[in-house]
Amino acid sequence: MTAGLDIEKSAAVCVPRDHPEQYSSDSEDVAHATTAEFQPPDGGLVAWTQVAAGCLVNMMAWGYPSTFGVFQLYYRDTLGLPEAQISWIGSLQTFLAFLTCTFSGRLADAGYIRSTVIAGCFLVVFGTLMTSFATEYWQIFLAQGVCTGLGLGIMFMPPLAVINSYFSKKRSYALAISATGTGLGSVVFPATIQYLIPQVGFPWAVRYSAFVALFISVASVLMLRPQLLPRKSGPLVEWSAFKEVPYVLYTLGAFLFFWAIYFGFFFVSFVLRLIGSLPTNNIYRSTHTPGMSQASRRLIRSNSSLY
Amino acid sequence: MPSRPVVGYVADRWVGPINMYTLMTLLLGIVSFTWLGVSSRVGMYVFAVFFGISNGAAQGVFVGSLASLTKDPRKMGTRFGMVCTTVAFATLAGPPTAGAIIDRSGGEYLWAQIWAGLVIVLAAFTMAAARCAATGFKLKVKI
Repeated sequence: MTAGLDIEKSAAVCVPRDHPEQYSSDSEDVAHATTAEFQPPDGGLVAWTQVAAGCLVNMMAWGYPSTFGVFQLYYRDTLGLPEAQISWIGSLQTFLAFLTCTFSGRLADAGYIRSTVIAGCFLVVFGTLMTSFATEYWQIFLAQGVCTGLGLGIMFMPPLAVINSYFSKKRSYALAISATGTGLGSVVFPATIQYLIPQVGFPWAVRYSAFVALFISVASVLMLRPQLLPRKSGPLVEWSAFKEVPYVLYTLGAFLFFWAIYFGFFFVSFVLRLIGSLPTNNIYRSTHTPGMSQASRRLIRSNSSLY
Repeated sequence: MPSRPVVGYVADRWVGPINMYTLMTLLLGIVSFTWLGVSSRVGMYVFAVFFGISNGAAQGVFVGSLASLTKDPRKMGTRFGMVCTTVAFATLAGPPTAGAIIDRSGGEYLWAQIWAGLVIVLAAFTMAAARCAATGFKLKVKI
């Protein structure tokens, strides 16, 4: 807090009061002072770069897990495991990705934006590389379920907090644009693996996807530019939020929403299998459902003709 | 490419993120009920498309709507993280709940589909209640 106040004071000394524009453009790279002082720019190159970084991170955090449809078929055919047992890996990955958000969100508020994203990316890339070496169920479970799942949750939260701090009037628009990354990722990652498995074999296909993930991570970390003053003190969980009625109702609504929605994702692919189409077609239907908001029907048609 | 940015733009410009999230969740609930009428493969594809579009629309304003409830942007990460951690249990419980309903009704999907539709509509009403708790019972409030 004291460091921030010092910056604020020195900036106020350096810049005459009648040039507010100069004040804001000069101090763009400096961590901003208190929220009362700070006005979100609501646009500009730096702000939209944060949205692009958020889009890339969303590509990984929620796009990458939809690759699991491809993995599931591969594990079933090569390891000969029952589908219910395999699907536990995917469920655990999603569960851990959501579960860790409280920790990564608190870290983001404390100002550890880049380091948190880097830690998450490391876990995702490491987990994916280890998946490519795995041959037993427990190895895949640890690498893909636990390690990658934790990483996805850790990297997801900080960019959201950053985007949120750059926008006020256009906030939903900015956050929604960054959320399109989810759809992009859920087309890019499954397609990459699906194309590469017949060409270079499963281990290298997975390794290539780890390299894609690494590239995306590095790009997003380079783009991120946090600006709010860190909130270092304060507990991990803000229990007092649960005394606010709107917050509690919001959380309850979100719980209900996701309780039912995963049944939708899960069973759209399952029902399609019952109705009876070719196995590859099934993967495509299941991977495209989350990406549907992104990919137009044209894309789906071209994909189904490709496979 | 459209649904998420469009929904985000409309939310900022006219409707307000929470109102938009409520409306889109309600739409998703209605789409889920159309699932009951799907019996052919073509119908399933059409359903998947609409399910995807309305889900994308709802999730696009999911974060934005919490942001409009959060006064201090420096608490955003913690507060949204807490919501996500709660949601984690929902994602874990969802498929087994549906599976149990399907087993109880002898392999029929009907009751599970009704359950999903009802829960999503209930989520929409809960969001509406959150909005009313924040603003009072006024129809035209942009939040």
